[in-house]
Amino acid sequence: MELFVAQALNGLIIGLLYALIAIGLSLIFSVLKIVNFAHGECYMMGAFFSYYFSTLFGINPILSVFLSMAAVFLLGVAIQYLLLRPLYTGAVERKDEYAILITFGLGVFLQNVAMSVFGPWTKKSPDFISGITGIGIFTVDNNRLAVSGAALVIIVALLVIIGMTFVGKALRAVSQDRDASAIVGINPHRMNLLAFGIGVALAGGAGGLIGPIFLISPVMGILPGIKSFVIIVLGGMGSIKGAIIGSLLLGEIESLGSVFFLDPTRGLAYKNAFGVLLLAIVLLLKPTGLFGEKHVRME
Amino acid sequence: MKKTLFVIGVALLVALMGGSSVWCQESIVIGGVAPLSAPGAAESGAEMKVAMEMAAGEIGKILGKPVKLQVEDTRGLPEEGTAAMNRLADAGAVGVVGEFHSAVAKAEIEAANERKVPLIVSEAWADVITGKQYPYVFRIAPANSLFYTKVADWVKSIGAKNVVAIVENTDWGLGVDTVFKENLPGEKNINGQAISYTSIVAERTVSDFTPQLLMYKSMRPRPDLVMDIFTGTGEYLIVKQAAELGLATTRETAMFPVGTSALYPEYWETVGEYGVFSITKTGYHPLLGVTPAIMEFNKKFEDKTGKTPTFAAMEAYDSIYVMAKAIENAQATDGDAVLAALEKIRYDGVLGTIWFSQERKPDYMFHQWPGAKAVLIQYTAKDQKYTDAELLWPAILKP
Amino acid sequence: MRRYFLTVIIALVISIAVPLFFRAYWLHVAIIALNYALLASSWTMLAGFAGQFSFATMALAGIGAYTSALLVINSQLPMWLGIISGALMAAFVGLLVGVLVLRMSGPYLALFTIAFSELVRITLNAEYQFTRGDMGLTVPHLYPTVSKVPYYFTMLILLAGSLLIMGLLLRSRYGLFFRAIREHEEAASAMGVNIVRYKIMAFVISSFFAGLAGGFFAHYVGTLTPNSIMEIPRMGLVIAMSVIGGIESLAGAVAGAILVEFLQEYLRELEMWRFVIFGLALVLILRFSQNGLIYPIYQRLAAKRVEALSESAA
Repeated sequence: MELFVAQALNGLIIGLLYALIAIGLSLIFSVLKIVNFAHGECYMMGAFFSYYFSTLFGINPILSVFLSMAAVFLLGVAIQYLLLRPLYTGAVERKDEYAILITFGLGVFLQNVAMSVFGPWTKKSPDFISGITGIGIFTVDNNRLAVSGAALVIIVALLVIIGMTFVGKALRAVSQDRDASAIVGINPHRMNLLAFGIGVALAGGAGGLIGPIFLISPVMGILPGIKSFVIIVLGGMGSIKGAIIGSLLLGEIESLGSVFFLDPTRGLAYKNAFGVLLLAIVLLLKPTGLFGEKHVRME
Repeated sequence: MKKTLFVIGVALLVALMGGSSVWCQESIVIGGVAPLSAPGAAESGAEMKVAMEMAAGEIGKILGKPVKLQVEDTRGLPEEGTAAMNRLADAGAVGVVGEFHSAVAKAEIEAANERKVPLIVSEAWADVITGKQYPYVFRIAPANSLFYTKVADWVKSIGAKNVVAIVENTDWGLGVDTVFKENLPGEKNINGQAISYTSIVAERTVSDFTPQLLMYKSMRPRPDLVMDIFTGTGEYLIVKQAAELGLATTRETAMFPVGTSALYPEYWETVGEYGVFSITKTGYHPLLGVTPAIMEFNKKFEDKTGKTPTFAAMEAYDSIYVMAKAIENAQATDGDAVLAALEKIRYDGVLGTIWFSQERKPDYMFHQWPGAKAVLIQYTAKDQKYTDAELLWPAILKP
Repeated sequence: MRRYFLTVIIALVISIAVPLFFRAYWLHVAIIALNYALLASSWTMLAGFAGQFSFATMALAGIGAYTSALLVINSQLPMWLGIISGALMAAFVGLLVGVLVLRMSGPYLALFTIAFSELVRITLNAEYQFTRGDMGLTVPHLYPTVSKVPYYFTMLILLAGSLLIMGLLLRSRYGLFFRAIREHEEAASAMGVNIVRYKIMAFVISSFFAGLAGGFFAHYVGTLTPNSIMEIPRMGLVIAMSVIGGIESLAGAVAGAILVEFLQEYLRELEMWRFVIFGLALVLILRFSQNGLIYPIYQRLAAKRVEALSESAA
C-alpha cells in the first residue's frame, strides 16, 4: 500500500510538470486553432536557453528560467509572425494541412539546429535547491518539489491571467469567435502573437525547470511533445482545465501503470506506450476529450 | 510525360555528381567507424576519432605511402554501419577499425566479410561479434562473456544476496543481462546464501525510472547491489534517481553504473555527489601498470582535448597501430594478405601486447585478443577522475 | 502519346545506365533513394492527392519489413512471397487505420497516426524476444551476390511498377475522387462521392506500397531495428522529400526523394548541418512555394516554352 502511495505521489509530480507543457499547447490551440507540432522543440529550446544563461553568464538558476521563458516568448512571436500569419490573412488554401506541415517542419529544423549548435551531449543545468526530503517510504529530490511548486504557481498565475485580466478575456474572446472579437475591437492578429508566444513560453519554462532533473539534450523534446498531444486530446483540445486534469491523469497512469503492469519486468518498456495508446483510444471514442468543445475546422 | 523526364533528369543530374567521383590510389586508406552523432554515443565516438587521428598522424607512412584515415559516422544504427563499411571499401580502404555499439558492429562484420576488408572491432563487446568466427573480423575489446562472468564472480565474492538491475534494450545491455541471468540466480555467494537477480528492460529514451526504483527499494530483503546496465543519459538518470530515492548508494546498497558513460567528466556534472562510492568498470586503470607508452598517450590525448582518455580511446589508438603494422608485415594491401598478417601479429600497444587467438572454443575466442582486461573501480570523492578512483577488483582474463 | 513513350524510354535508359557509372557505395545510395521514392510517392498519393495527412507511412513500411523478415526467418517461405505478404499485411493494417480515422481530419488525423506509429515502434522494441528490438534483426538477403546490381534493378522495377499503378489510378476517376475529398469533403460527399470507400482505398493502396518498400528494404539491408525505420524524424524526412519535390505530383515525390537522398550523402561532411538545411528547406518551401521546389520550376519553364511557341506561331 505504501508503495502505491509513493508511486502516486511521483505520478502527481510528473503530472504537474507535464501540465506546464500541455497548457501552453492548449492555449495555442484555443486561440489559433492549430496544433503546434513544434511544441516539444520549444520546450527543448527553453531548457537550453536556461542552461546557457546559468552556466555561461552565471545567472541565478531561477532567474535563468524566467529569462529563458522570455527568450522563448520572443521566439514564439517570431515564429507566429513569419510562418503562421498566412493562415489568418487568407493566403493559404488548405489551412489544416499547412499548419501541420509547417509546425512539424519547424520542429525538425529546431531539433537539428540544437543538435548542431549545442552538440549532442547530455547536459545538466544547476540545481535550484539541493538535497532530498523524505515523505514516508518516498524520498524526493528537493528539485522536484521546488519545480512542482513552481509549476503550480505558474499554472495558478496563468489561470488568473486568463480568467480575470482584460488580456485574458480578449484571448478567450478570440478563441470563442474570431470575427465577433474583431468587431468589438480586439485585434485578432495581436492576440495570435500573444497566445502563441505565451504558449511556447510556458513550454520553454517547463524545459528550464526540468533541466536539473531530467537532464538536457537536443532530442529531449520528442517524447514530451508527443505526451503533450496526448494530454490535450485527453483533456479536450482548447480546454486549459482539461489540460491540467489530463496531465495529472497521464502522470499517474505512467507511474502506476509501469509498476503495476501485468508483467512488471516489461512495464518500463511499455511506459511510453500508455500515453499514445490512451491518445488513440480517446481519439476513437470521444475525440473532444474530457472537457473539449467540438472541433471547428479552420476554413 | 515531359514533366516526368524533366524531373527525373534534374534528380539524376544530382545523382551523377556523386557517381563520378574518382579516387587516386597514392595513399593507403585506413577506415574508422564510430558513432559521431545521435542516436549513437557521440561522446565515445568523438574520443575514438581523436585517438585514431593521433595514431594515423604519428604513423605517417606505410609501405612508403602516406596514410589516409577516413572516419565514418555510424550513428549507432546498424544500417549506417553497413553503409559506412561499403563506403570505406569503395574508397579503397585496406582495413577498418573501430565501432562502439555492438548492434552496429554486428552489421559491420557482415559487410567486412562480404567485401573482404579486415575489420578490427575496438570497442563492442557482444560475444557474437567474434562468435560468428568470420575470418576478416578481429577484436581488441573484451567479449561480454569473458568479462561479465568475472563480474558475477565478484558479486558472489562480496556476499551480495539480492541483485537488481535496469537494462537497456540494446545488444550490449541484453547481452550483459543474459550473462548475469546465467551466472547469478540460484548460485551461492561467499556466505553460502542463494543469490537472486531481478532485471527490468527499458528503452534508451526512458527518463523516469523512479517507479521501478521505488519498487526495488520496497523489496525485502533490500537489494545489495543495483546494476545500472545502461549508457548515456539513462545511465546518469538511474544513478541520480536511485540516490534521490534513498535506494543507492547507501550502507546497504551499492550502485554500479556499468556503461562507459560513468568514466566521463559529464558523470559528475549530471549526478554530482550521488556518484561518490559508485562502482564502475574500465578497461584501463593506472594500477594495472603504467607504462611509458600509456603515459605518453595520455599526455598527448589530454594536450589535444583537455580530457582524460578512457579505454575506448586507447583501444582505437592501438587498433590503428595494429592494422598499420599488419599492412607493413604483409608488404601488401590486399585483404587476404593483411588478414594473414593480422593472424600472426604481436604488437606492443598502449593496452599491452596485442595478438589474436586462433582458438575456436569458446566460439567468441576466435580472433579475439585474450589479453583484454577490465577492472572494477570505485569512486571515493566527487569530481574524481576515473584514473584516481580506487581499484576494487582486478578481473584478469584468461581464455 | 508517342512523346510519352519516348520520354519513358529515355528515363528507363538513363536508369539502366546508372549501374555502369556508379560504384558500389553510390549504387547503394541510389537503391535507398529509389526506396524512399516509393515511400514518398505512396505518401503523396495519400496526403497530396487524397488529403489524408497521415504520419503512419513509415510504421506501415516497418510492418511490411518485419512481417516479411519474420516470416522468412521462421518458416521456409521464399523471400518474394515474404515481401508480398509484408505488403499485404501493411495494406491490411492500413485498412484498419483508414477505418479508424474515417471521422478524423487535420490535426486529429495527424495525432492519431503519430500515436499509432509510436505504438508500433514501442511494441516492436519491447517484444525483443521475437523481433530482436534495438539489437537488430538479421534478415536474409534477397540475392546471394555481393554485387548490388540485382538489387538496383529489382528496386527500379518495383518503383516503376508501383508508379505505373498509382499513376493510372490517380489519372482515373478515382484520382478525381481523391482530390475532391482533399479539397472539400462535404462538397464531394454532396456530389455523390463515396467518401468512406475512397478514403479507405487511399489508405489501403498507399499502405500496400509502403509495406512493399519496407519488405524490400529489410531483405536488402539485412538488418532491421524499429527505431531506424519508424522514428518520427524519419517520417519527417519522407514528408520533406514529398514537399520539396512537389506535394501534388508523383513524379515530384520521386524527384524529391532522389534529390534529398543524394544531397544527404553528398553533404556528409556537413554532418548534422545537412539536416538543418533540409528542415529549413522544408519550412521555407511550405511558406513560400506550397507546390514544392522542383515542380514549379518545371512549370515555369514549360510555360515559357509555350509562350515562345505561340509567339513564333503568331
